Amino acid sequence: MIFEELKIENFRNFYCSEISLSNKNVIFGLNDVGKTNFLYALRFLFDKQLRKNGFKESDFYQNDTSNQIRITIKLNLSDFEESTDTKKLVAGIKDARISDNLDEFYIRIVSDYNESEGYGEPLLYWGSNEDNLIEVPSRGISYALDNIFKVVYINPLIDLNTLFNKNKKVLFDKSEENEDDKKLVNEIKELTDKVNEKISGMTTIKQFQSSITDEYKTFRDEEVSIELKSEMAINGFYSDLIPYIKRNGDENYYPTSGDGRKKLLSYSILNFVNRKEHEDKIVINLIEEPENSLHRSMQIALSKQLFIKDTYEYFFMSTHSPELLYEMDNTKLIRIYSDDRIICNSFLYNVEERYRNVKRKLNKDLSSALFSSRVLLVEGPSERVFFERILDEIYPEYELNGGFLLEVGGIYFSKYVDTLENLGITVLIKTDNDLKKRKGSENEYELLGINRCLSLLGDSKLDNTYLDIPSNASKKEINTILNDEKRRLLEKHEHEVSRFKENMIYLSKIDLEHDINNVIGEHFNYDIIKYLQDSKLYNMAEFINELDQELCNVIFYSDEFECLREMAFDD
Amino acid sequence: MTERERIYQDSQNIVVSAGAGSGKTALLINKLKSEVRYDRTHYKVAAITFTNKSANELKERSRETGKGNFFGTNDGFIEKEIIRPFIKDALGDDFSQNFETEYFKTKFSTFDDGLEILKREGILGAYSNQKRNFKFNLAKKILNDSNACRQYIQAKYRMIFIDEYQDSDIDMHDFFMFIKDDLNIKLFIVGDPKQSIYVWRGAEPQNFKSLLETGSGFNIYVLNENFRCCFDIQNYSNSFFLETQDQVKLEDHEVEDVIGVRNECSLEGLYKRNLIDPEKELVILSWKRNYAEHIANYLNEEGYNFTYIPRTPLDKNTKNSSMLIELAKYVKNKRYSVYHLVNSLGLDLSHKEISEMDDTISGLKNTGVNKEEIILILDELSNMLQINFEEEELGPFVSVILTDEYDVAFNGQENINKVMTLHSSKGLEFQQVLIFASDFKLFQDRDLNEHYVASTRGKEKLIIMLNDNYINYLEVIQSRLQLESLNQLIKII
Repeated sequence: MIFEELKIENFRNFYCSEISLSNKNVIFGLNDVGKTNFLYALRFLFDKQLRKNGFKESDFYQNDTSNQIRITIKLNLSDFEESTDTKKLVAGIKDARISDNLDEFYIRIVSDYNESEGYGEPLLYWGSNEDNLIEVPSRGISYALDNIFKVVYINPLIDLNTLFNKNKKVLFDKSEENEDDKKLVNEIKELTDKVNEKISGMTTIKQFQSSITDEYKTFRDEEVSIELKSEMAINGFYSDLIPYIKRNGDENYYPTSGDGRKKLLSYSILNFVNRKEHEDKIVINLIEEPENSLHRSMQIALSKQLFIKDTYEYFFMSTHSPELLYEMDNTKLIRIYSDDRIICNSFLYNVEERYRNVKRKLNKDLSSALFSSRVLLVEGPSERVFFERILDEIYPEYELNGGFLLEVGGIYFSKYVDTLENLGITVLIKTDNDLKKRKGSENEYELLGINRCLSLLGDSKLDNTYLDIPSNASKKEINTILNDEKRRLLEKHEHEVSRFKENMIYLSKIDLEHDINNVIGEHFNYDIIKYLQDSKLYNMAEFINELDQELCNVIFYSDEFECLREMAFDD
Repeated sequence: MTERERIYQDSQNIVVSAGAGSGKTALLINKLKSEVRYDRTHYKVAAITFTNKSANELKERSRETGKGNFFGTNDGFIEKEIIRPFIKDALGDDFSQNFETEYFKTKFSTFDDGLEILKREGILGAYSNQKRNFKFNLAKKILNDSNACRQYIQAKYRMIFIDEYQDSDIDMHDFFMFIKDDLNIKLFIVGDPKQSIYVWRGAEPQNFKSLLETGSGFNIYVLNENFRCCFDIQNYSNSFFLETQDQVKLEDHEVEDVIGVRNECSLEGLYKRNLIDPEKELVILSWKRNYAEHIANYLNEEGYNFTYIPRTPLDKNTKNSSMLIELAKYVKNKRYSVYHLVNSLGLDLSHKEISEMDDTISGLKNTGVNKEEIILILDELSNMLQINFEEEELGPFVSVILTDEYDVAFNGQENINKVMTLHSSKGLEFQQVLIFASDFKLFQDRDLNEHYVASTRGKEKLIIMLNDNYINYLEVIQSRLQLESLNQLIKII
């Protein structure tokens, strides 16, 4: 079974959103309300407990109850042969499916609002034909749907003790005790009786019992006495069990201290319970901001669990944490943001084979950028260090306002651009006007920089250029010839360059160092191009210390660095 | 490991050939329970059989097996799981899923005619040829034509248990083999090739026998021990069939429990000679109904206390006959309350609904109730339960209520001594049974199955009123088994 699409209409702050889904979905965005409401839309569909309360006036978009709430999910069942979950669904929906359209299935909840009661009754429909859905069979508040799906809502404040105690019956199923166990249980009972005997023999206990009994009798004089008992003897020893974490090679037991470990243990218990109790159902995990109280390394561990292991076959997770996304693959990224109304963009993020070995770096960079709204992609670390310096000086709040600097490194621009733009994130690019000698040739050069920009716009590459370089030319002479050619090319393709700019692709005349030199070179008494190109990152780190506020200002407002202004200020 | 234990551990397709009294229903239920006990998946099982009565028994005895498993009749299974839900999907919107069934009135000769009537009139009928089964042909067509239906059955069921397979007709057999071979759903089939007495209405025991012979992808098990009948009766009934004659054990003891009465000998004589125990029930089985009634009257005139259990007008297997029979018990039997009724009909009603139902139908008990009132009450009941009584079901029910002629079949006050027809005794068991050799044309190679059923109803004693033809037949058996004397099988007096 594959989750394909969710359509939310007139529900809370969703006016009408169609969101494409997959089985692993990450929901993120700056806006706080949208994410939770997105999860609520799913809960109304699949969670009987929530659904039974019906829709309130505040569940309607802009409280306008004259419009009907409609939440529709589209599932793909084309994996019938391979997927047990699809079979669970097919067995449960019986004749609501038609042979003409076996692969698609829709489930919809709509509101039937009763003005005088101030209550919207939820009605469920399903079927193969979106325009002709039929009522889901129901009995009382239970729908046939509820025998198929089990929603596990994991809220950020999951509490280990409550969870553990609530599920003791499932965790320790008495019917699974064997004969030896039964014998042991009886022995334990004898022991606990003895414990209580000893306890009641203690002076402190006896004194307390008699004084508190007297105290009680001043309130109500009746023939009672107050006695202290170990809970174990009264409610059985299961009531007394608490999980501890024991490190291998360490004799001590540590209480499951640290909220992080507690949380991971809670997730483990939940998974165990679900596997045991709901094997006959399709379990949908709704995970709300699990990063709270998880240390960074634990978030990364959880990320593995989510994206690499198949513990969570279907999940919808809202998060603010890039660390949780480190292992993402085959994942639908759903970005929720609001203009005047909520907008959702989603994008199926795959790490293709050619990025496989750089997945970690790719995901790490990208996952941080996902939480912003305008991303400036730069080529390498010296650009990043230089831009950060300028921004810190002129506009230190840029990240808070949704700006983000992302260093592309060795990875192609296009992977980032695709992902981010599809999620509605504005992408700006600053890149060098590179020329690259064709392998095996003497004087044929590829217009690498310009072509890079063209391909981002989906245009075809320009023809290579041929340079007349004497065979005995020094490196410096070659550079001069190349730089002249770069300037010439830029002028020649003036039209393209201005198109790049319109699309927020900023092509340097030559490269970063020349751009810097153009803008502030006159303020220095040495050749900053040579200095910066010599030992790139190290010298850049030194160089930015020499930039004062005035120089930063000049740079920020220069033509060469327009990209910074565009990234920092949201128009 | 015993044969039974091997069956419990075998997870393939299984056919069990089980003789009378070998506890085959218990075997089926135990196997079913062992299959579902540790199963936590969504897959369900279906347990199906031929009559409502056996279906209810299956359901009753498998109570703790959890929700969603199907218990019912063959007809009910295909109707609820295949035909009604998927008829539109397979055959188009011209067909209604709210068709009526009319097996007795609406007859036709071809599948296409049946389909046309179903489409035009919304009536599911039957072939004029008793041997063929329109409903099962239809179910197979729907399975064939509707992918949605096929996937539903595959997704839901992992195993189907079928009882009394020897009673299935050629089209049922075809259908079930399709389920096994094309849908890859495991079948667990039990039956008794010797017990089919429904050949007259299409049962084809040969289907079951050929499964046993060819295997056809099944693991075959044979259970012969008979828990019901005593040793002598088992031996005697086994000696009549080539397949079971090897199991006849000739021990060195005098046969006491199978008694052939050669000469004129009254019942009194049998009692006097201690051949029948007067403290235990005695049931006389007769092929013909009027003869059975005649025997009862005659014996009662002689001072005995026999109840003739009549074939009542409700015994015709109509659409709602099982419901009307239970309703008749409610009217005629003081100890049979509305709760018994609700329970035996398998209705899921609230307390309020039950008491409403009681209010409605208690009028049937009024002395002086008349035909119009009865029909009015049935009408109300049919509204309440969303069922449709057929026109021709009303008359028989009214006559059962208005006369006392059939009360004995419903009032729960029958004697320990009964007379009934052979066909109505199927599936029942009694302590002592008396049968008439003249009812069976064995020497013409006929009635062997009926004879087997009749002779294995008694747990402790079988008495046969002999005639010459029957004795001749016994002598044929004697020479086939190379017995020194017939006394090794039967005590002839």
